[in-house]
Amino acid sequence: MAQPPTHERSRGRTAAAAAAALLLFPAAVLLPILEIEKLGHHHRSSIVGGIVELFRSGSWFVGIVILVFSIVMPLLKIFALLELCWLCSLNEKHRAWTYRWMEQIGKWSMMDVMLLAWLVMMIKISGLVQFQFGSAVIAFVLCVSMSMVAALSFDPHAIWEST
Amino acid sequence: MNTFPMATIRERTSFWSRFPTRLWWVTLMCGLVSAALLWTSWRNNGELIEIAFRDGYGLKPEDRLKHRGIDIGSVEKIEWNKSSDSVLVHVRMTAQTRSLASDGARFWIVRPLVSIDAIEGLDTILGAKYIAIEPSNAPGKTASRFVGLDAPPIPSPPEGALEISLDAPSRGGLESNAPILFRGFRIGSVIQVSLASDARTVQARCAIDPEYRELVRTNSKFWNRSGWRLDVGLTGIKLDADTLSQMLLGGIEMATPGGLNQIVSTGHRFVLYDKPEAEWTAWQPSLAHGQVWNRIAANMPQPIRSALRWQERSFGFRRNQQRSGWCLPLSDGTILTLSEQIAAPNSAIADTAMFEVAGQSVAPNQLTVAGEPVRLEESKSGTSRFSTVEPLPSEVSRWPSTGISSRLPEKVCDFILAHADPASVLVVDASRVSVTNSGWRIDDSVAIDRDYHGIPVVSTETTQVIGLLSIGKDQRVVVGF
Repeated sequence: MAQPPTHERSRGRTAAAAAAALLLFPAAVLLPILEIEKLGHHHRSSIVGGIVELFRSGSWFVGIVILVFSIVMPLLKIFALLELCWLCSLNEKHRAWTYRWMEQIGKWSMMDVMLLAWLVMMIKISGLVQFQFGSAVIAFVLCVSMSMVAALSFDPHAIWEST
Repeated sequence: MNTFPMATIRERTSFWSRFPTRLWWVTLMCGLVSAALLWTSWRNNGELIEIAFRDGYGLKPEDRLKHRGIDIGSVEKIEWNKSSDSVLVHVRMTAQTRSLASDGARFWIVRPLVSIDAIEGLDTILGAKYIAIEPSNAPGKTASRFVGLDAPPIPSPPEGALEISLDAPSRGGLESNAPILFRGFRIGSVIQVSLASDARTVQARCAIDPEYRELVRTNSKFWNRSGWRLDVGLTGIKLDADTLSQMLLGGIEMATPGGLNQIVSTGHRFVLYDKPEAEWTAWQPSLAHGQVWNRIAANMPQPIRSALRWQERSFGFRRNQQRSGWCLPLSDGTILTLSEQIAAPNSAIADTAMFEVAGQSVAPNQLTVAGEPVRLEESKSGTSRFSTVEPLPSEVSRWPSTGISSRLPEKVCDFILAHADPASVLVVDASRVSVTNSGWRIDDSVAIDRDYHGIPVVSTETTQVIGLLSIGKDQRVVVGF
């Protein structure tokens, strides 16, 4: 029996959005996201650079939290989505297991939340310092929206449809 | 019999259905955006250079490297180097400005600095410290390791400056960067003050700005100016001071007498006196300097000496008389001179007058103007243009006959008295000249030697010879042609 096209399309859409998110991810975390100028002191920070600084200054707990929830988890989620869409050869059990995992990880993937936190911080400190968005902001916003599109367009029924 | 209605399903046959989803285009765009962002960031990431400082002065990562007030790089890492006991600052330069950090570039940390000389780096009291760079003058190959300076470098003397050395018995509050003043006007500065190698005097190395180097002559006098002078007397208290900065900084005053002394060359030594003698401050020489000098110096008329000798009868004796002056050979073979230089006075005994120029001695009535003999009736004013019997020797330099203005300009302009000796060339400002019937009369305040009689006068505006200087008993007049 031919696979209904809806599942096929959903799968393709998810794969495309997840791949886009994956492509944007390095630019989002490596490039400076914020340039602050306070009384002549310049500071440029990227997400990865910020985590490295936290580790250096000894804030291990905060560093690990941010590392896990804004880098590791989003990456795992994107990979899991890609796996579900592309690796049709996996058996159904494995796919179901992956899907369950992805659902769990998705809750803890906090890139979008972090974006919100950044924005709140910007508004709060805008009176004190001058700041500029770095080039990573474009990549970051696109990456978050792409991974949301991927998660929303994934149709869990595709898992149970036989290949 | 009921048949359950079945939908007939048709495949979509549009162009887009061949692709699983249109979203792949978005994926492609996202990939391009990401690549573009990463590429621009990588391209702007310049090279790292390393500067060793003796003291970090609170420099922090992210602080800037500035050139002429704009950012050209930022501090990436600061560490203490154990082997050299210095602070190593790693600076990332932007790609466009990398070439500034070449061999010979100098770096220093800008920090607030208050001295009697100047207050510097005020922007760093509240704000961040930054590193300033002075690129080397000669662009060499780029380097990546530098040794930073402890204090801002003393600005190097401008290209073409005259460096002289002053010997003083004691330092007398002299600081490097103190001004050298001529009539209270800054013409140079002290580069360095140090003890002489035998410790007997203090030596101040000074640089005179290139446009004023003609003001320093071998007989110039220098004295230490302490900046302010307080005289307390019966009539009251008198405070003498120029500007506030001079009051704090002091300086060296210079004076040059008028006269025919040589322009000095680099390395000349002068004595630095404690106080001026009264006559030094009264000297008012006219010295060509700066742009006026540079424009004219390359092409200056070269007058030659001429003399008129004759005999006069007085108390029954024959007495030799002579007048000497300057005349100007021209490229067309003629000679320009004041008329009185070739016309003997009425009191002269007939046929005793001889005109001498460039080794020739001819009777004035043999001189010709355009083939005709020169009219020899004496005229006190005016100029003559004549030819000698024999042509002048070829080594005499000739002024182009096109470089002569047919008459005095309508408007008085600055001019130069083009003496044959470059050290004696005088410049006369237009404000010292008044127009009379006979020509431009030069103010009595300008000291001009009798030796300038017949000297060609060159306009600084047109660089043409506009006339000859005639020095009479009571007046000095520029006579037009």
